[in-house]
Amino acid sequence: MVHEHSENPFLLFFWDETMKKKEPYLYVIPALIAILLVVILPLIYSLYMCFHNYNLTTGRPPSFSGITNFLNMIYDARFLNSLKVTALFSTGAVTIELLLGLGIALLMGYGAKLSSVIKTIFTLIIVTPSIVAGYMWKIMFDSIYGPLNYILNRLFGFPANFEWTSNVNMVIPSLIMVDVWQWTPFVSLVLLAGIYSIPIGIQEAARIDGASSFQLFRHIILPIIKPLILVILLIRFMDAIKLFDMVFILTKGGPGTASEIISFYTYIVAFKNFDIGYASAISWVTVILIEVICLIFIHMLRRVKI
Amino acid sequence: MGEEKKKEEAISRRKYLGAVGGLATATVVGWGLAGYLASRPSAPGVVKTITETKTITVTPTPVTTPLSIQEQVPTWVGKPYVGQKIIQHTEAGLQEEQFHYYGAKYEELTGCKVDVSPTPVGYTYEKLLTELMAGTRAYDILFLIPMWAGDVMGGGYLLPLDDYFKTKDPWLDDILPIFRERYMKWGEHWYGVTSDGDVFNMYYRKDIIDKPPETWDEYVEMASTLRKNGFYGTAEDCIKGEVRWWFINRFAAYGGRFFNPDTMDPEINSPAGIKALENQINTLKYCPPGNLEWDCTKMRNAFYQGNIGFFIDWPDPGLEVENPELSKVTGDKTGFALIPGSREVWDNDNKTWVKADDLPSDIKKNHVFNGVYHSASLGYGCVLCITKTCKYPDAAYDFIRYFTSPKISLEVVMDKYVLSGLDPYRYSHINSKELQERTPGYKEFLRIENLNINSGYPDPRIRGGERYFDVLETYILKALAGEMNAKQALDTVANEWKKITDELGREDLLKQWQASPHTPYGP
Repeated sequence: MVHEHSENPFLLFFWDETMKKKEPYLYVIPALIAILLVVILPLIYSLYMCFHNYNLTTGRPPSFSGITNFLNMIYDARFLNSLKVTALFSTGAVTIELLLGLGIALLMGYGAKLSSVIKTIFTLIIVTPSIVAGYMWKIMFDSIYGPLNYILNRLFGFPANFEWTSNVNMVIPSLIMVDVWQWTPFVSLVLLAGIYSIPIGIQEAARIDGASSFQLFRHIILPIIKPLILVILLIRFMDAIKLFDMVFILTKGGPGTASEIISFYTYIVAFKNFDIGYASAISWVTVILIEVICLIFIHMLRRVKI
Repeated sequence: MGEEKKKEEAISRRKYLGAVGGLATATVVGWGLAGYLASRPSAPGVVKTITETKTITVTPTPVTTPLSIQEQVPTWVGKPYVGQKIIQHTEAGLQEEQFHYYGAKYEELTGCKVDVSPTPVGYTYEKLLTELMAGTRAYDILFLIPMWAGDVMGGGYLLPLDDYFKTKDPWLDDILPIFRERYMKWGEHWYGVTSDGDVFNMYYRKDIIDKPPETWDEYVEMASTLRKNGFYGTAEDCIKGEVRWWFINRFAAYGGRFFNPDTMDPEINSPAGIKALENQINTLKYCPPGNLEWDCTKMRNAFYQGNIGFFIDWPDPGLEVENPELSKVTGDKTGFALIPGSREVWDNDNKTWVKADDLPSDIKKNHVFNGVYHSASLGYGCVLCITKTCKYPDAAYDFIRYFTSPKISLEVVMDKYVLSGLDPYRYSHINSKELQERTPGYKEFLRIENLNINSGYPDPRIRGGERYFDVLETYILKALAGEMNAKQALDTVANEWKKITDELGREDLLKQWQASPHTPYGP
């Protein structure tokens, strides 16, 4: 590249040593411009909107409202409810996924038969689009015609018309169940990769020293895969807080507001109410929430010593 | 024997004389008719040879029989819109097919291609408004629900159709007044043509129920009585985006009014509202399990499969129930009735309950039968409108006029070629013998439907209408799910509504609300 430049007298004039150092930046400028236009500018605009009163249906231009939108959140029962629902859902789903995923990974890593079949099935589940999975579960959960009730009733005498998504107390556990079904395979496969990466010699040495299976797990496997666990928690928490599609298909936030998680409520405020100012403020609170969780996990990751 | 022969001869003579007389009469009448025809004014250019030596110009006898209103449809000379394309918005599913079918026919007639662009049911409002606000030119013709008129017609996104109406009448006088005046106008202008006359009706199993419930109290009582061995008295539509109308039907029957027409303060939490929601909560106790997540399709299917005794719904089941591909309760087993009512009605002005029989006579005329006040929701409905960004408004208007013309719209509402989901809205529909005879009980259905229309309770047409009703539905569902009681839910709705009114502009909204007629007993 430099050679070509040196042959061109015009470029040679400008192409001094300083420019040579700057050359890599030229290549990233187009990407930077694209990111600036489609990510950074909308973010800045939405930040600007947070401090404005702007409803698209009124036909009035945005008017500065200071921190009113943020203050309104404190008194907005639906927003507070959505925070509670999001916390319940994300904590429940991610905890179960991690425990279950770890268990399955250990089983697969330590000689469970059919592990290759399980891996194939898991991959299929992971690649199933959420929209397809959502409609599939909608049919599964149907209280009269759903196969889930039929099977559970036949096998365990479960109530024949159990209400999975129309019962206020069952709707969050049902959503957690779907999320666990869809994301436990991902957790298992990542942890399995971590387990496979542990040198066999260390494990054999521990065994020779008389370590039990639990001790092997507690003192050898867990410390080694701990960074992976933290990364999984980070990714899954971020995804769970942002969950939208499953709620959109399965419950529409209902019954009432029992499953109205924060992203769905933001959607209602933005696209039903067209209250862009308030929706922007809620979105920024969500971003801050996710950032805080990320920082906590990143901080924990830095402290991990293997 | 000889006498009998004479008799025969006498009869023959009588016959002979009769035949001669008849021939003479026919000759005279024919001669007179020929003279009448010959005296008619002539039209130039058509030449008819009368004799070998003399030619005269006469008018051809026109086909003078005027088309009956049911047969009227626009016609075009040649194909005036070749190379043009319009995008027809609609809801996905049932409503979609008719536009594909008649869009293709319209292309054959005019050369204009009709692209059908459906949006998912339940998410149409946000999709439409987002496209309109962003000015994406995604649609040329909108399938607009009157409840959204405040945002769409009032938002300035539509082309006024006044000039078109002057030159190409969409058979306005044939459209039932309530669907014409309350659906198609905003302010002083016409913005659309009605294409769906929705009203709620009650459907019940005639073979099981002798007398359908007349009041909402009787409705709950009958639902509890009929429930046994997997058979349920009734079922409800509880899905978000639709449950509002199952509340509104009750709210209207108790005399509820959404807003005070002088102040725009919400009256949703009036005793009428609370009674309505309590009734809805009580009804749900006797509905099939999981009913809280049922939409109208599931509810209809439960009736078609013979699992419930009665229900209220839009007009679609009137025809569908006799369709053997959809229903097991065919064979005139379904009866139709007025939407249940109430013997007492809330007077929103004087804050007191009034007996239905004591209401003013002009209100009683269409609402009170056997001492019961009835008022059926006219919820949903549809108007076809042209967006301001439409590239070919002439072709778009002609398509609307074609689709809503008496002939084509009759085919549509009677599901002649495709299931449409659209319901009668023209006099010519209700009076159509073909429609009346479509199924064994359909004539009776049309009679009941007409009574329900006359007692009709239209959806409010104000800016932010969908937003108000989204809040209402959220708290109705909370109450139905047992999270709140009726009063708590509706008090919360009233507070939220106040906030929305203040945010969107009380004065503007009040003007819009006052544009519709109001009585102390709603709407």
